[in-house]
Amino acid sequence: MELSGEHVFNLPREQVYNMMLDPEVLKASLPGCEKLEAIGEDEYAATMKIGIAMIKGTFSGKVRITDKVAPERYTMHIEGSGPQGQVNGSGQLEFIDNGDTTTVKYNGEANVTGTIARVGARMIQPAARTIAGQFFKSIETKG
Amino acid sequence: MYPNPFEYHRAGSVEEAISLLQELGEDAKLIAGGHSLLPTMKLRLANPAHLIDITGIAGLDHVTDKGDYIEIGALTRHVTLLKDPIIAAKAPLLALIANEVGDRQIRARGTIGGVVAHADPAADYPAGLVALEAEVVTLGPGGETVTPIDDFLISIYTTTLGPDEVVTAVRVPVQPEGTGVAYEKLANQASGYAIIGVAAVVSPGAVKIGLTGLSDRAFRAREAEMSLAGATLDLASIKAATRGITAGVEVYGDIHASEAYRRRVADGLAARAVAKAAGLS
Repeated sequence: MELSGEHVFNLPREQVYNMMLDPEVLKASLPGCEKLEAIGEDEYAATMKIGIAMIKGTFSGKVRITDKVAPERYTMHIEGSGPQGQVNGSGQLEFIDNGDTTTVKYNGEANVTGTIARVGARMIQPAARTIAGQFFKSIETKG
Repeated sequence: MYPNPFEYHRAGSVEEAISLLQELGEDAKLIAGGHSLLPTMKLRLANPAHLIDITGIAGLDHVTDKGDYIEIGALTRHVTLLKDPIIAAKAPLLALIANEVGDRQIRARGTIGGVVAHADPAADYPAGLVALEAEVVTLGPGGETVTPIDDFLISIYTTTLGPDEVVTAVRVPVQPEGTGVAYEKLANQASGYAIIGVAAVVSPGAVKIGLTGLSDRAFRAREAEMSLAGATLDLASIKAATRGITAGVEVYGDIHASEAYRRRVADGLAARAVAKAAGLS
């Protein structure tokens, strides 16, 4: 599944870039994030309670950041599993300086397997987009 | 497959259902027909700890002519809408749609309140309800709320319904004399859900079109409606107005149909639905 989009922050680029690599900010901004701990350099263990309406589960996994070019871009890799399935994928985040505002463009590819992929395929993309939207909005309020 | 264990509660009134929801919190789900919830539980995608059965609540299974609108109780089943004389006379679009929902078993058990509260983006009714400008009546601790369906639906499985609120009825405005309706659908052959569903309501001087199955919720095709309003409806003008009917809307592809295919078929089904509602085919 491909997932791409963008969000415009009313914040300078340097600040947005740093916030989006700050485990404390990420933990507070990821919807349902219960745990985000550093387990190595640019590597985190995460637990997230995600879902929509009645379909929800606690997913745990790892997040890894590579190809950091501050404050322009980085690549995020995720792998996780929960009661309804597994997900792994990676995506590029690009931070574009517009003067007073910053556009964050994301473009990634995720593989979803398990029950959720077999019977809930049509809900994955809208759900992922909803979660991404909530995440960016929440980051915005912490700037 | 079997669902995870859960506790079963039976509410005798809407007030009791509300207080059970408040008491049991987010691990509780209301159950009516159960034909969306139970399969999801058997697959263990949903694992509510408590089910509150509302099917024993009196007074929620009715179709009532209120003059300007028809009120349909939340527990009214699809098969009732299919056969009810008031629906046939005053809101025939809902009977057409009820006929397209799932299979015989689902139509015998599923309820209209369940459909709107569940907000499945591929459910059939929402296409018709947005086109008819229906309203959803809910009851919560703060009293009764009436919300236009277009505001009520937010996204996939998500509505403005609060965690301690219950859908009690759906109100459907009676359309003006001379209104024609139609529902055209491309169904998923396995589940019966709409890959694309288009409802058309053609009244003298106005056309309303609702679409389902394409995006994260049902929506109106307002641009096409505007270009058809007051126009002379013939096959050519309808085809021109419904071309690109999903423009500006996020359409999701999946294993059953790609985004491009969905957009293309939506154009064709929309043209067919409007033509049929206008009495042209």
